[in-house]
Amino acid sequence: MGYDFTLEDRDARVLPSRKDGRLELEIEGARVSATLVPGTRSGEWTLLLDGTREPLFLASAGDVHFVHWRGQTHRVEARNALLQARARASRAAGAESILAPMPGVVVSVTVAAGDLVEAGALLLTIESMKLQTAITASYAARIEALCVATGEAFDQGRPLVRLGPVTDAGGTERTAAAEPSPHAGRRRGVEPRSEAKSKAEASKAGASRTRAPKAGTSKAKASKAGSKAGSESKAKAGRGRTPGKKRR
Amino acid sequence: MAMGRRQGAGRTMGRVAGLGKVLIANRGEIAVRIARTLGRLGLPSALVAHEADRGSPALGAVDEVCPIEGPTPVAAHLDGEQILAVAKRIGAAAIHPGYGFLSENADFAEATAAAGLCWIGPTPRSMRLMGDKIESRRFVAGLDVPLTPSVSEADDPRRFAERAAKLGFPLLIKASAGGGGKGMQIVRGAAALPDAIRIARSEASRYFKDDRIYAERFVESPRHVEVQILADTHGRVVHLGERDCSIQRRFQKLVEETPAPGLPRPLRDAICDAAVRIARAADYHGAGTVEFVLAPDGAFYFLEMNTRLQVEHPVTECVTGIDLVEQQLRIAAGEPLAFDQPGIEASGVAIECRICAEDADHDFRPAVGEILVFHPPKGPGVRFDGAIAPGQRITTAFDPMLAKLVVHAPDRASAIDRAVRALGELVVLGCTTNAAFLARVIDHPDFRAGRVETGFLAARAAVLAARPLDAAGRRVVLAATALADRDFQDRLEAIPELHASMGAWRN
Repeated sequence: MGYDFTLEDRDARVLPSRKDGRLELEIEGARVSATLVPGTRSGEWTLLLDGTREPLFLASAGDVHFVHWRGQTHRVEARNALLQARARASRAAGAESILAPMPGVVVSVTVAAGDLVEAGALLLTIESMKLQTAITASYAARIEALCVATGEAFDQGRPLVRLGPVTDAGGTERTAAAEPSPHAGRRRGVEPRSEAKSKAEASKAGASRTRAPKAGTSKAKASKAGSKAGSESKAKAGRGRTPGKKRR
Repeated sequence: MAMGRRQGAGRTMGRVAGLGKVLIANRGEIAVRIARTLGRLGLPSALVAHEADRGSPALGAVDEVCPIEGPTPVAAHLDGEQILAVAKRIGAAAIHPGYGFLSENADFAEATAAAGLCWIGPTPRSMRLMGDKIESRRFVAGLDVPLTPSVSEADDPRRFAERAAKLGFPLLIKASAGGGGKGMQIVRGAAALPDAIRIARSEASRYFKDDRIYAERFVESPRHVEVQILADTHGRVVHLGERDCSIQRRFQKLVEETPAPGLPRPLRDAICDAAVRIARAADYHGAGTVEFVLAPDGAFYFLEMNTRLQVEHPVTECVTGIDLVEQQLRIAAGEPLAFDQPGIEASGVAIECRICAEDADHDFRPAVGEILVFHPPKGPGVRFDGAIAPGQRITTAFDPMLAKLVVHAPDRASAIDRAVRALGELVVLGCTTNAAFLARVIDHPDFRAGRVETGFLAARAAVLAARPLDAAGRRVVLAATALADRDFQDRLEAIPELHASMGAWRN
């Protein structure tokens, strides 16, 4: 079974296999042997990739991984089927919500719950990077709820306002989009951080704590090191951070 | 986080007489920076902190933390009344405002003094005089310091657009009470002027609660050169050399260095002299910075004066060995400066890179996240002023600047090498930063050659963009990620030895 990641806006599939006790990965068509060896500092690892040593730092928050290698930090998203399905489900449930196109602060709110608005009507003004962006309705709608208040700060993907159909007689469902946004279309869809997802992470982490150590002794070193990396990332997912000494 | 070697040695003259507990009315890296000097001088330190500051190392850098509240974290830090009440309650003797927040608020400085506390900064009178862009220009015009041609809206509001257009394009529209590039726009033709005026006015009113604006002639390919001033209350005014802060995005500085590269000695002296003249005429006390625009032809124009400690003050500290926060404290306590102009010597080159939580590859959009792993760069000539710790949540509640990497080396090429290396060594996982972008900027041949101007980044956006990983690089990052990923690990366990064939597991 393959495993999907997104790196630099490109999807990549990693296929694991074990041959004669040795872990092999097929990554974007190339087969490599890979082992992670822990280093001394928090997040520090050495990746042995076909015999070459690649020192790097890595940490995970849920299904998002950060890899610092050769002076650059890369963000990699794990896109396993379960998480993707959840994200789709939450998107469907919030299809009428306008999501924040980027992190920012609400400058002003122009509408109130219950208002009927025309297509193009100004709903609220947000500010990000010291620039203001008008959030408008992309179709005539009724404001079901305002999810933010003036002055409130929000992260990317947070629902800002929920739109409903103009008439009570249910028409066709349409999806609102924030426009015009300076970044519209530049990124793949914004993903709301759904409660379901956080819960999944929490329960995953809980499970990891009680699980017995894996990677039986008969298995090769490669797989052991791999497991170690795995359990560390689990602990991280649980607390959302890497255990480390407090500085200063 | 050691200061440069030279700091602390030689210039320290023991205790600051007459100063007691100092309340730092700020947060983040500058709070840590101020606390360090307070600690070294044996002065008790206190810090105001909002709930959003939780987890910041600044809280551990002071002797006392005082909670403040507000409708937003920024509002709490701007609530002068509340902060003064805190200061009185804890028996503080002085308030250090750092930069930003209340640092240039003359009313707050006045209220501090009225409450019987010492304000670590200039007098409210010189803050008012130099803090207002229109007022300060009027004042400086009388001192034989060149100014770019400008018109103020207030002089004749109805004919403002017409008068502005007469200056000639390109124009810069600015907020009179402005700062930090807010409300600032370049206008290249008459057609765009009405809109630019309208937007500038609304931004000025919103950011500064003061909708006065003015227009000035925009100097093409300008450099931003500023001069660090120290002035005591006994009539001595000195400069600590210049800084070049031309590398900017959205009119905000990203890289600063001293000395300004390629500046002929007579020009440098003329700029520094003009700064001293302005500070003296303004009867200025404390640390301040006079900013100039330098045209490619060597003409320079007064821009504004910042009546506070600057973000980029460490580069000056590195080359002069003078602790500017210590000098601020001594001046505020009424001590005379312990050195005169010839006694100030600068050695080597210092460069500062502002580490910001932002995505340089997506229009410098602010980045958020929880710090998972943090390792600052170390080594000789490397100073890292920051307030970052694992577990800290980076939000958009505050300015995106997380830390400042400052390097000091005998010459500019070595300083750049040192900064590039240190930027690569800095590890911040959990929140995107601009560290790799900064390394590309200062490693660019034009930066290395000293060809800096405020349009540097915009003109080189394409070549400064991150290069995608090659196939081998992707394999490294993906292999590491896969091995660290929990779900991937689960699948590995499920792969029985017998079914080792790759094909069988494809789906």
